[in-house]
Amino acid sequence: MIFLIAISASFVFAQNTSMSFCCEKTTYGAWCQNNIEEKCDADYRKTPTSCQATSFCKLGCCYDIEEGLCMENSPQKTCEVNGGVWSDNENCNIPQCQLGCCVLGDQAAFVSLVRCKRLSAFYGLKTDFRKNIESENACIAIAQAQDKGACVYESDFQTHCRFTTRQGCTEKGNATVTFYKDYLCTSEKLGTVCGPTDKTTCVEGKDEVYFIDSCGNAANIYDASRINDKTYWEKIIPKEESCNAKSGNANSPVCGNCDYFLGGYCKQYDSSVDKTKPRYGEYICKDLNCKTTMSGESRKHGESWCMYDDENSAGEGKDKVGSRYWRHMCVFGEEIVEPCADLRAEVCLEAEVETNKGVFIEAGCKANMWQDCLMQDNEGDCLDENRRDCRWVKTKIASGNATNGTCLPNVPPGLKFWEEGEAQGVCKQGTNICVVKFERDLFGHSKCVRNCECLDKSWIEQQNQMCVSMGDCGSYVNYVDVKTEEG
Amino acid sequence: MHAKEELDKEIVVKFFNKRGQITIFIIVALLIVLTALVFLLAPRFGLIRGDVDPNSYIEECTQEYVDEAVYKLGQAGGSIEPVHYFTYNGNNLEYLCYTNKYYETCVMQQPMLKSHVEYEITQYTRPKIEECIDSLEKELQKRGKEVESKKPEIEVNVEPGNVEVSIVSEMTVKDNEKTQRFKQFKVKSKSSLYELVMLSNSILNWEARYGDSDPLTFMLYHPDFKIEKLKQSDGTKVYLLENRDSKQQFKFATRSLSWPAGYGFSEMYIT
Repeated sequence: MIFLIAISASFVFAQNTSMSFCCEKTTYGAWCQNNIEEKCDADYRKTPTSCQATSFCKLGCCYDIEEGLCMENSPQKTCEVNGGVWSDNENCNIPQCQLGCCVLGDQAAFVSLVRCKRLSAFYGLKTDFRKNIESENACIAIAQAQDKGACVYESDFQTHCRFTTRQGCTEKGNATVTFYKDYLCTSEKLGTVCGPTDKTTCVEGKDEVYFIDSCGNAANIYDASRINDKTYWEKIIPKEESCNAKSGNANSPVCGNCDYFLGGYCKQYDSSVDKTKPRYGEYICKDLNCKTTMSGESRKHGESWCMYDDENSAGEGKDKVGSRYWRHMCVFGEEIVEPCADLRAEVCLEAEVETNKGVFIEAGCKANMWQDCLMQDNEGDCLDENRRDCRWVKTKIASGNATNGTCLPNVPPGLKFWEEGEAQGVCKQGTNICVVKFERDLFGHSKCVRNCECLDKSWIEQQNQMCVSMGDCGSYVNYVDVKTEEG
Repeated sequence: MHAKEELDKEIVVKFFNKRGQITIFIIVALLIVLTALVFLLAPRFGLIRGDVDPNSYIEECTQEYVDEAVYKLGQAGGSIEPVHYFTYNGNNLEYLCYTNKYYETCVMQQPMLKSHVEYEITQYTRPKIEECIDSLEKELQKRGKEVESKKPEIEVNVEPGNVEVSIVSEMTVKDNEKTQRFKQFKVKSKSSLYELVMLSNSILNWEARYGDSDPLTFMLYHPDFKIEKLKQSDGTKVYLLENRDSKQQFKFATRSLSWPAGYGFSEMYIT
């Protein structure tokens, strides 16, 4: 084992010295990489040291003064060549990049001041930046508390109206505007030109389907039973007092009170996909949950779960050669697959979270920390999940550190066994020699007296299992069940 | 007999009259359709020489190239012809954040991605816009007008929902009746390129700081976009971003915080 480490360390040293040039730009077009001298582009700077120690490849923050964006880990040249401003702070802890709450009507964004000005200009709003708000949740809460209502003004001898926030109700030319909190533009009391319609729409930043009036303003949440109810077109009816407030209302033809967290979201009706047509308008609460998935179960929107190439051989040292872990996600009614890193460098972990609406599953790919399993000499350290991903077996192997068992990877790593490299060295650690002692009696009959269990087929199988647990070693099958006996 | 002959003759005449009427109706109908087609299509094929509106002409001519540029760079990570790339399914995807080391986070390769994308669109469309202006001049001259113009200056702005191309080319069109001056042409093409680039910037910042990003979190915050992250065996991550409504795509590659196979003692860098 020590010999293996020494040999490998010499490889590291050799490679480190050969890759010791910092290239401002490489011949293959990458900026600020350590490589061999021949890979450095002759038209750019290079120096025989680590890039972080150079002035030309020191990483900092690239600030886009037009968009108000801050990009981390940026070299100076790549930043300035495209008009950016570079600062010597790779995590962008500079004043221009300090975040605050940018209120944009009834929405909010937790961004920098310049970004807030840019976004406000896009939406035609006055900049409302609050730097005393230091969290995104508090920022969102502020936006949702904005007063909304009818913004009424006279123009061309008619009374016009826009449904907006108090902040968005600004003067239009010479016209005086009046803001009526909580009133809809269709309110008879306001006497505007806007009237009810049977059309619906989605509103940006909102989950629900809304009626729209003849002026194009959003009114209350779509409720087919109240379309002719004059009181429903007077004042804002809160979500919790609208139809089926405790349901997601997915695919409901009569109620547009979608609840994102219950799997409903406003979308345009698509006859090729949606089973039910809305009674009025062209919008419906789309079902965001996944009814059928590759695992055979239905999943909620936002859930993620693990899947394996072979359910029966995931973990416990049984992973097949070439197999991999996968993270599946249910997003907007669609199942999306994210592979974890190849060669089982990552594994998938999942956990159940109890919520008041049932169990919610979350999964993620995480690094497979198997490298120091063999070095553990006791079961406690071996099974320390915070430091490593190993399992303890009561069989000792020659190269193991423990005396009463062996600490092996729970998920054996994949190895590039088809290349010359350390794969052979890794597998050799599973080599075990068993010396069987025989004694011959006076009549020439041999009898096994020591380590006789090594003659059993079960011992051979056990040792092979140890090899398989080291990585892609030993006699085993691959993920399409093709067996290799040579190891 | 004579009466029968007369009757037969009457039947035949009536029959042929009926057929004749139908034939006439068909011919008239065909003539009407043909005339309508000629009026609709003739200007397109230059059969009828009407007035050419320079604004519409440039817009129609340029729009196609702008859309082409947006599509191409969307398939390649922000550059029309990427230099440092990863090949995925036949597409060369530019590395927007990259390190050749293991265990380390990436170095930003295109920190000013929006500006870079605007530059690429400008460079791609410039020769084609110049051709459009030349062909506009020729069209106007065919119609007996005098045209003077300067070499165009092109500015591309990627904005929310649009890509706007401003062509500053002072053009003077003279004929016997009047003189028209055009200072600038503007072409607006609907596109979600701005939103895709902003989303990519967020992902790249996560890759640079933490070595990875979570597509699920991004999709929950940006419901209009689908994001796929595909890890390759050399540590590269391929990101595929798509607008759920318009199906417009933006794809790119990163390499950050990768782990080597085995113990990795012999590898600190990918070679």
